[in-house]
Amino acid sequence: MADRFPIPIPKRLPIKIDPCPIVEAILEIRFVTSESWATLPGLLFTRIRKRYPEQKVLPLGQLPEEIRRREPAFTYQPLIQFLGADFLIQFGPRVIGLVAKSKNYPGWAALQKEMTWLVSELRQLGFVSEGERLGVRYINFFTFNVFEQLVLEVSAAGKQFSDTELSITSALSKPTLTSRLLVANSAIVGVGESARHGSVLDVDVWLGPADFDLFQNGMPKFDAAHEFEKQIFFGLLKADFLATLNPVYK
Amino acid sequence: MTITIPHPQYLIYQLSDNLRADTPSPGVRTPPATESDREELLLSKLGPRGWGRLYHFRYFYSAGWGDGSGKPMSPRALESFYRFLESAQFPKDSTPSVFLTDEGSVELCWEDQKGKSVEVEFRPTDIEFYIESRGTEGSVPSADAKTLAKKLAA
Repeated sequence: MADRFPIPIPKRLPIKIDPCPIVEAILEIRFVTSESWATLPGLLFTRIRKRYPEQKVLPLGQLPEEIRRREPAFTYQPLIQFLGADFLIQFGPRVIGLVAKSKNYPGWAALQKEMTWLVSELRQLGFVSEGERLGVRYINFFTFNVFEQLVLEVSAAGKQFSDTELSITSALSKPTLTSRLLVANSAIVGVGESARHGSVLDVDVWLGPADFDLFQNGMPKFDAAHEFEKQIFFGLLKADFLATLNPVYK
Repeated sequence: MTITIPHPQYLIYQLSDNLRADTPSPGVRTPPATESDREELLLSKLGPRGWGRLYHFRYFYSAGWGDGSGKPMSPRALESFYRFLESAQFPKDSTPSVFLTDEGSVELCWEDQKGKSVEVEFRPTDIEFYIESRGTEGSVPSADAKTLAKKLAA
């Protein structure tokens, strides 16, 4: 894989960088269920209410079900959020995701611990009949043009794209894992007064239905997806840029 | 009249105006990442009708379809269906038909060169098959999808 994979994979990966560019980290499970959506939020809430006491219905959740079901783009969209102190849970008829709140990335160990708890609650609830996709997504934000700090180059006839608004998306894979990488140098992060303009480096890594069993090996698979995400992220950074992020290694 | 509902954005960011394609083109649909090969496979083996039926089953048949007890399509069954399709060879004049069963399995049926039916049902962990001309039926684990496809093509 090392030869064909377009991103150089670092020999060792930091466990922490500072300043941390992560603005959102999401662990997501897409699934099928035989239960109707009407009963699912209530069922889940009974198990998670102590940690996630607050609920917020998302705009899509206010659309009539008949309309939602006719639009495939909505299939995996969450309809409701449950808010806790450090994380939030996004929930829809075919998806559940654990999200680390922005500006406050608690580290992989904390995210992993919370997900282990959530998976065990899901197991006891029993409505997930089959997993469809297990994913890890990290969205990083930089106030400057991040392309200048990456080993990634975009050019036409040998002439590099520079000082232009640029967004590229690529699907990368290695056995059992697939990733969609998006890098853009003109994006707006946040809303309202907290909105900032800059670059995003968005890495989404997932496994397909044949490559995981949520209740048998879900957590090791999340680990593997997270590791792949880190390889892509750190593999893209120029060495001198990484040094400015004060990496801490094990 | 066609009404396009705007897609919700629950992401923490959005691309700037210049990088966004705000006007959706009704004739262009981007397949989910990594699925373009599979869509081509479907089109080449099952034709536009088969592609359309599978797309419909996958996205529009949720829990309770049909008489109220229909299950949604099993992602693992779909995965083994694709693996089977990669190695499957169908007679020139036979167009395979694809179905979704009440249990959420994917079923593929076609006629062999003698005009006899071949039926293959992809379930979450195994594949059941029936070959009318040989009067045989059986099942194999999902992992053997490609081997079964080659056996049925022989």
